[in-house]
Amino acid sequence: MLDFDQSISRRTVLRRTLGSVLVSGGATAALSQGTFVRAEEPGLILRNTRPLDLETPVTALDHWITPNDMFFVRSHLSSPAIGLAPWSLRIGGRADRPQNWTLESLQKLEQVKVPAVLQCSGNGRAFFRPRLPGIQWEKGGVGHAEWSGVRLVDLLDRAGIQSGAAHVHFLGADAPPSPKTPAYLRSLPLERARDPNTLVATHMNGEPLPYLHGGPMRLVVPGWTGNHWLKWLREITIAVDEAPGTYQQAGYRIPKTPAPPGAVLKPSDLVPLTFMNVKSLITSPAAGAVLNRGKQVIRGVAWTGAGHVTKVEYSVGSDPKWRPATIQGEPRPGSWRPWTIDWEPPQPGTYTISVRATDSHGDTQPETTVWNRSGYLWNGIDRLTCEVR
Amino acid sequence: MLRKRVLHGCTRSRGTLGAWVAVGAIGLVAALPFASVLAGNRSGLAVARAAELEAEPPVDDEEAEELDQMARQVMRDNCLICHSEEMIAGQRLTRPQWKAEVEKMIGMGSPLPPEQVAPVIDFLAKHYSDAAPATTPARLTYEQALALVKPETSPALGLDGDIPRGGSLFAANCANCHGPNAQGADLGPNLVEVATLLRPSDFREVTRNGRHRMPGFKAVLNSDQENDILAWLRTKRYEAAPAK
Repeated sequence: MLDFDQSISRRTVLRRTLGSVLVSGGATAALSQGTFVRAEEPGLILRNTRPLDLETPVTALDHWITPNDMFFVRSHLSSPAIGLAPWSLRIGGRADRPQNWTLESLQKLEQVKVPAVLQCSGNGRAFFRPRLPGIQWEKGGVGHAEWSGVRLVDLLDRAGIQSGAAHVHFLGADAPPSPKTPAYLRSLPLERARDPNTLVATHMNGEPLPYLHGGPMRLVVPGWTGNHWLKWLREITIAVDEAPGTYQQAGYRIPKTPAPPGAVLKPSDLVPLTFMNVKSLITSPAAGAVLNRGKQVIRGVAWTGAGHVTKVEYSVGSDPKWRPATIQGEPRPGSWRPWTIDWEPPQPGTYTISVRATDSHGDTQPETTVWNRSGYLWNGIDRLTCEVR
Repeated sequence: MLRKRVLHGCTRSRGTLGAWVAVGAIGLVAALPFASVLAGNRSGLAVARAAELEAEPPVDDEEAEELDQMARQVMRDNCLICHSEEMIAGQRLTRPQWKAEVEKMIGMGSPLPPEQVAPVIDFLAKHYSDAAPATTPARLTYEQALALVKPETSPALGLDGDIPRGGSLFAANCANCHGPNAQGADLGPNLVEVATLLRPSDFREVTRNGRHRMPGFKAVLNSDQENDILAWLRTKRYEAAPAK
């Protein structure tokens, strides 16, 4: 049974205290250079109470790790009761040895830790025009955490995958409100399910996986959009075909070729969302910040789905010249990399800084993402407008 | 009682977008077991109050006002079973988009009666059009969000209930709307494995006083009987229907 996020308080508070020391240290350094950092509003951005959808303010993404209590929350259905019975993860279907795993028995398998970006496929939906239905995520339907738990492939191998199996279905404990409402039943192709980075995670940033993030266990599919990262995971079924039902067969699909609003699309015109696309966000200073003249450091993060980020560039105002930002850390698929820009505004005024990332496949962020009917995969160039006095 | 309260709210702050947001927030606080947490969410209430203050003067068109009120009531009864107001208010869509959304939700189980479909689409297209101004979302900390759904730590009500008796009481009083297996039917949502089962105070509040169009059962069920029903519900495990 979960201890209902009691752990989040102690460890996160410690980390946040350290973080704020670092931040205030940074602010002190910045102040000595004549910079004013605008105070940010506390808490997450409430997009939906039922089911719960909370967005991270972009300034809270200003670190390699996004703290658990500032990490965005996305729910399809209402949060399930956890604790009516000891948690059990069932593996069956086309399996030689169907099994039940508990939190305790999972601990006997090799524990692995994977840093990975979790991003809602609809992150940035609010920026598409024409507007689209769905949660109006702006920038913060994304975060980066160290996920730990067991490899899904280890569970599949122990269950014994039968010949002919090609997909793995997943079901969480969050029940639909009505028998007419489809359950959030999803599947991964077997190849992706067997990827050593695909996890059944029981921990997030070193803490037991928090309830609102899918605790006690969730699927972690680094590089792929959040719709694959099932929360409150309880049932794994090895199968021949993709999962039936609307969420796998119709939802989370994107046109193979751009289709304008109103276009009539056949199911064969759509492909499932898998990898994220290349993206970067400016995390500091905050939009609308008032800066004094002098040396400034602009910070942010950049990531992609397949491969890794190779380049982050910036441009000031309408300057057509893109200059390199400094990328930190090591390239690692599925993870993100902080970057910095050292910038010295030449004179007072209002400045707009644009940032774009390029990945190892040679994809670069576009000005705006091509409109698609569900508002998925927005990765238009991020911009910060600030005032220099 | 709830009906009166909400209608009163509507009358007090007549038909504008801002007012509806305000009424929504008031309705939520009044009607839902999230009251204590949302009441602590000052920024959310501040937004609601600001919206109420900024509301345009009352419209003269009494008939339009009446239609809006009815649509609000219908939405409360049929949409807020699963959704919250923020989600609706956060979207600004064209009439065809709202129509498609409403039809999609009916396909997913919304009990919206056929004769109410057009008025609800009209209401949504009028108040949440693609030309409507953006609303400022409230802020909520993780802890506040968690407090809405996490199990109560106080001595649990329902652990001592009589399970078979709870099953009989459920069949007699609840199954008509929530389905014989408690997994939901047209009028009432699923109750199996929902977070409320570990939140006895919420369970008791809704059972006694009702919620949205659910009537209160305080004149029908005594507290022992509430315990019995809760104990029975806690033994149930959601059984997924074969996917279509």
